[in-house]
This record gives sequence, C-alpha cells and structure tokens, in this order.
Amino acid sequence: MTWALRRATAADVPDIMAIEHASFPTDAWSEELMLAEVTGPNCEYFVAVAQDDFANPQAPIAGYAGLLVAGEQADLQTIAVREDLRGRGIGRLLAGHVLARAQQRGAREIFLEVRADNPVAEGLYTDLGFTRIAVRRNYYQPDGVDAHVMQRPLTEGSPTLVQTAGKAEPLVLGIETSCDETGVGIVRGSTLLANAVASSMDEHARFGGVVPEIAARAHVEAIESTIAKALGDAQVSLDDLDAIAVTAGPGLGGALMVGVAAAKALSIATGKPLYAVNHLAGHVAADIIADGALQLPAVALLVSGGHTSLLLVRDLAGDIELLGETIDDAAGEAFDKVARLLGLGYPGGPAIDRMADQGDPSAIRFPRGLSKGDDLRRHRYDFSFSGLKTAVARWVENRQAAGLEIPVADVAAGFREAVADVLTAKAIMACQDHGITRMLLAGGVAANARVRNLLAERCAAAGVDLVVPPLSLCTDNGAMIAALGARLVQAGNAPSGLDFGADSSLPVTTVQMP
Amino acid sequence: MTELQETVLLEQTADTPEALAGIGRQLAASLRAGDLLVLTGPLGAGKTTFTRGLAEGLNVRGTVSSPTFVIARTHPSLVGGPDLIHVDAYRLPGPAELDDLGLDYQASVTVVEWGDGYLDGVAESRLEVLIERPLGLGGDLDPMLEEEADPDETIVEPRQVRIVGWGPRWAEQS
Amino acid sequence: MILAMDTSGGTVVGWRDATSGRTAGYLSENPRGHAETIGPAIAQVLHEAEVTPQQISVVAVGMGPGPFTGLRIGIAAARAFALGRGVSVTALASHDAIALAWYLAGGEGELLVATDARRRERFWTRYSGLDADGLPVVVAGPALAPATELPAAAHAVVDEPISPDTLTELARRAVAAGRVGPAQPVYLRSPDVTLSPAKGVTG
Repeated sequence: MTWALRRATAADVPDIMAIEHASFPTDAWSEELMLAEVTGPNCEYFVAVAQDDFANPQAPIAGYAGLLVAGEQADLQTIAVREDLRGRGIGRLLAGHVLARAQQRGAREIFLEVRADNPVAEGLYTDLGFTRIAVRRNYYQPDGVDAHVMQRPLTEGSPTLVQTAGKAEPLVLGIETSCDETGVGIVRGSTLLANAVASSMDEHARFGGVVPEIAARAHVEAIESTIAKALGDAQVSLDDLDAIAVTAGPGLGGALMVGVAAAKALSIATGKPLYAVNHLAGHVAADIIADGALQLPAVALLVSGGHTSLLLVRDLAGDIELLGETIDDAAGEAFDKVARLLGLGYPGGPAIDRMADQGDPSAIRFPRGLSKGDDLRRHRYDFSFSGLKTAVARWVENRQAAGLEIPVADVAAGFREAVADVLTAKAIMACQDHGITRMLLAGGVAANARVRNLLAERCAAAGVDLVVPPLSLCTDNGAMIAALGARLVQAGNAPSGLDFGADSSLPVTTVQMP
Repeated sequence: MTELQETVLLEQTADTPEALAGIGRQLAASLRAGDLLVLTGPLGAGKTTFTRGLAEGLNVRGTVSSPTFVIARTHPSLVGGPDLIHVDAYRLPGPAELDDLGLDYQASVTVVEWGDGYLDGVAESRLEVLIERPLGLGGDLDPMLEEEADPDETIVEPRQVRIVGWGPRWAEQS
Repeated sequence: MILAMDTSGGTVVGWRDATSGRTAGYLSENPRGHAETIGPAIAQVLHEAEVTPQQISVVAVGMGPGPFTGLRIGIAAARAFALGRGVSVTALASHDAIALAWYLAGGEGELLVATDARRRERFWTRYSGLDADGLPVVVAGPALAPATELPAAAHAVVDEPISPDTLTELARRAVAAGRVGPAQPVYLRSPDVTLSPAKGVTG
C-alpha cells in the first residue's frame, strides 16, 4: 500500500477529528479550533490517503499533520495517525513532508512539543533530527504530563519534498476556452499525449479580430468533438484519467463559461476530480512540457493578444508574483492594430513579420514605452504600447499629409523592433534585479521570431537560461492547462469545488480557484 | 419617441494623463450600480486612461488595460460597491452582440469604449464621455526629423473632456 | 434513468426513473450565474435521487429558445455529461416543457408560451395541444417579438419557469416516441459561425 499526501480542506475536518479524539483522548482540540487551523492563512495541514484513492475526496484519512511558519521559525503543530494504521511509515511520511515544506518556505529551524509519556513519537522525531531542548512541566492537562520541546535546524540535507505527494505522473485532461480557441489537451505528468484545437480563426479573419460571442457559440459546438479527438489522439479513455483541469479565467467571460460548464459536467459524470485554473499560469505551464520539469524560481514573460505580463514564478502550484503588466494595450493587440493601420490583415503578428522581414528596423525609431525617467521609476516592470501605436499612426498620417510614400516594410520593422526591444529589456532587468537566472517565454507572441531571437541573444549575454515552448503550445491550448493541472495534482493540491464561476479578470496570484 | 433630456455635467481640459485619470476618479464619486457610460474618442485619445481613474475611484480589483482583445472585463469591487465592467465595442458588429454578453448592468458601473449607439434601449439614462485631442497639437512631430527629441519620452498632449448626461438620472444629478 | 437540464431561463436540472416514476429536481429562477450553479445543481440532483452517474442512460437538454448567455451553459454541460457517460444527447425544445406543464394541469386549446429574450423582447411559441405521443404540437414559432407585440392566442403563459419534473417527463415522452428535438441551439439571433473541424496539433 502506497500512501499519498495532499493539503487538507474544511471537508476533511470531521475525519481528522475522529483521529484527533482517538489519538488525544484527554486533550483533543475542539472541532472549531481544528477548522480554524486547517482553513486559516497561517497554517498548512496535510492528510495522508491511500495513493489509489487519491482522486476520491471521500477517501478515508490515514493521518494528518499541521505546519505553522512564521519567518525563520516553524512549528509542527500536530501529527497523528489512525491507530490501526500505525507502524507503516505514515507518521514519518507526514513529518518528513512538513520538514521539507517548512524549509521550502524559508524557515531555518522547526520546533514541536511531544508528551513525555510518548517515547515512540519522541523516538521518531529523534530519528528525523530533532533534539530535546526544554521541558515544560505539567504542560498537558488534565493529566499533568510534561511536554518535551524539541528543535531541529533546517539546512542543507533536509529531506526533499515527498515525491509521492500526489501522484508522480498524473494523467490529466485540460480544457481551455478563454478566447477564440477551443482547446483540449492531455498530458501524463510532463509528457504531452494530445493537443486538440478547434479554431474559428478563419471566421474571425472576416471580422478583423476576435469576436467573442461568435467564439463562445463556436465553443459550444466544438467542445464535445474536441474532447473526443484529444482522447483518441492520446489513446486513453475518460476512465484512465486522474483529473480534469479547466481554465476558469482570466479571459472572455462568455467563452470561459462554456469550458467551465463542460468540465464540471464531465467531472461529475466520470467521478474525476476537477481543478479550476488560471490561464496565465497555464501559459507558464506550457514550459513544463517543453522542459520536462520547471526549474524554479524563474521570471516568466507572457505575451499574447490579451496579456503582456512579467511574472516571478517560485512555485507554479501556488506562488506566482505579478511583477508588472501592460497599463494599456497588450503587445499582441498592438500588432493587430498596427497591422490594420498599415492595411496588412489579421492576425497582425505574422502579417507584420512578413513585411518587417523586408524592412530596416533602424530606419525609423519608434518610442519604447515606460523606459525612461519618471515612467521607468514608477512602472519599472510595466509595459505600455498605446503610445507606440499612436506614434506609428501619427508618423504614417504625417507622411500621407505631406504626400510622401509610406515605406511599409520599414515602418513594420521599426515597430516590431520597438516591441521586441522593450519586452526583452524589461524581462532581463527583472531577472537581474531579482538575481534570477532562468527565464520562461510564453503566450502567442512567443511565436514572433524577432522577439524570440532578441530575447535569446540578451539572455545569453546576461547569463540567463531561456525556455521557449514549442510554437503549438505558445498560443492558447488545452495541453498547457492539462500540464498545470498535473502540476497541481503532484503538489498535493485538493481539487476545486463545483461552484466556481468564470472570472474574466482572475489575478495571476490565484493559480487555482477553490 | 421621447427625446432624452441632455444635461452637460463637465467641460474641462486635462493637461496630462494624470489629470485625465483624475477626472475619471472624481466622476466615480457620483456613480452607482446600474450606471452606464459611453466613451468616445479617437485611437489614443485616453479612454483607457480615463477608465483607470474611474476604477481607482470605485475601488475595484485588477489593473485596467485595454479590453479590445477580451471585449469585456469585470473588475469586482473591493469595498462592497458596484463592480466595474469595462467593455470595448471596437470589434463588436452591433448592439445585439453586446447584449449577448449577458452583462450584469444592474449590479455594476459599465463603461463602453467605442460604445456610441451600443447602449440605446438598455436603460433610461446614460453618461457620454467625449475625449478629444485638440487639432494641431503634436500633429507635426516627426520622430525621424526631430534629431534632438528623445523618441522614448512620452509626448504629453492636453485633452478636451466633455461629459454629458442623458435621461432623468443625470437631470436630477445637476 | 433520465437526467435533464435547461438553462434557457434559470437553471433547471431534473432526474426521473421512468420505471418507478420517482423524480428529483433543482430549480433556480435566477437568470444569471448558470456557470456557477450548473455543477452543484447536477450533483445535488444525483445525490437527492441517490443514484450514481453510471445509472443515467438518457441525457436531455433544452435547446432554447433562450438568451444565448445562459442557454449555452446547459447545452455544454449536457453534451459533456453525455460524453462522460457514453450516451448521446436528447434535444428538447424549452418551450415544449412549459406547454406540457400547462396541458398536463388540465389546460385545453390554443396556448402561447412566451419567455424573456432581453432587450424588451420575448421568445414565443404557439401550441394547439398534445399529440398521440403526449407531446406538445407546435403551430407557430419559436420566434422573437417585442414584448408589446406578441401574437394573439386563446391562452398565454408568460415568463413561467420550467419545472424539473415536467422537463424529465417531456424527455421520457420524446425518447419513447423516438422524436428528435432541435439539432442546433435555438438562438433566433444571428450571426452563426462554422468551425473548422478539430485538428490535432503535433509537436
């Protein structure tokens, strides 16, 4: 029997209390206190379940442990194993995980209290590197038993995070409908098995851009067949899946809702746990498929039609910081608008590229937004492309007014250079400022060769490793969502509930919705 | 068809982007759930800048950026007040598509960029915010010819802002 | 066993055991928030019915008419649930459920069913009665009209919610009669789009 660990939720408290009362008959915590501990912001509680039952939220709990971290000190709040399952290493598993987690969160030492009349437990802790540092007389009431206070430093050589926390290589199906693509992908851990996309791109070309309601209607028609295609390509059945993941936001509300509704229904019908995830974190997760595993921390530059953000990723399963983002237009949007301005068609990125490749990027210098003086000070990692867009518009209008010809190739090249320049410069600056040597590129604009090449150049010069996902994983797709779901399962995150909605402005700091 | 009553609420020049946002921030104080705003102005006029100020005044979550791609973005209130729905109708073929988004107008303050004509019939009253760049200013700035000008310096041009209320809600206001 | 859902107005989910006649249901008249409620609604109904998803052999859904935003939620959910169970989706006309309820309650003659279409308009369908299979007979519609210009009819039922029990009963009769409902969602507002078929992306 293999045991797996996951984060405890409020729903686990009754089962936890059963073990609590049995393990600590004279001084058990109250249910209110336990609930506050488990759901509170300061503690992390873990429960152990049979690995085969990991996906089942009603699986019996074999044991639990609680961790509190305050700065550089941590406390093992409590640990208990069901009486009939003791002696199988579950306690050791839980304690080891707590130690590793405490260290990961920056604690330098960890404390605990153990009853003086529990030599078995104290023996386990001694094995794990704790030493007794103090005795509290008559600490446990009403028994009047002493507490032995134990301490362990957390330095190199601490146990690594339990690899079986959550299944090592979960098979996950991901659904992505945040914009114009209906994407369904399947991964096994970090291995890509299927990436099916039904695109209404051609129809959108007619309208000169994304027309969301058409997109949302298209999603409803496409969702079934795209799921079926992904399963067929991966040669797995719904029953084989360990979990389902779906984009809950950010994105187009109406489009998101289709994926959300389908994912919930599929989860209920198949009994597979559901993870409601963040689209931006999904883009970063595309790099897992590229790279096998994400080496963190890393700075992520996410550039697409709807987003331009710089992220500091410490833990994809729950620690992403937004360093900066666009304060007006997204880079991809700027490409679309300037392409339209120049009469170059949709989508703008490839159209600008074709022209720009024939032009001279240094012929016309267009402004790099938020790159100087006060702007840079107040918006160090933010982007602004609106000024660039209007500068191009003004330049073209002035030329036309003067009766001069427009050197479209040079304009396209100059515009593209301005975008690539400011994106890459700020991304490198973010790495250097934070002492980070790893960069992840994500989003549809990653398909732009100039952005990619300039970034690779500058990363190499700055000693920063660059990871770029395969082109098919840069644009919105379901495989990246599946990869993110797999990461959350591996990290031991509890599944999401069934009542989350679509959130068109879900912040990147919320990787998974409850 | 009864003519909606027109009430001019503000005519002001904003010298800087901060001032433009400031007008939005101040306007927020007069707004409540159910209010509709139509923002009109050319490309780069500052509609999003104005909305950013409005969002600050309303105290909602998230950075306001151009919703052209996402069409509509909902910023939830951080203070139990109305949410802000920020819409860009630039790519919507017509009002029916806006309607199909199923936006919760009653619980929110809704701002629609390029929204002229899109909100007719949605409610009894609405605000129109017109932002214009006065002619001639900055018009002949050619980065290629101005050797000394720093091309990365943001060109600060004043904006003319006119806010007009239509319907009974705004007639009471003034 | 039948699981039926309809989000053309509020959120309606129903279950019915055709053999025993036992039913369970969920109804929320809120015309918003379908994406939030559809998950707990389906789960709650199955829980109340004390059945597992494996026992569902018929999945039915109201195809409208209805405001597009809500309607698509039920359709997407039904299609996904059916895919999860390996069955096909039985399509129902949403107004038929309202008409059936009226006729089952003893109503006779011509009936106009009308529901909210936003923008001060209404969707309407006119019925003449039930046929030999116990299914409502459509005489005109569904169509869209300004709320003040609905066609005349001897009787009218306006803005009436769909009941879960009637929805599942409609599904039962439709399956028994081998009747196929509207193949596409009934939006009654353009435009429509055609999709390129799903393609696998390699690499």
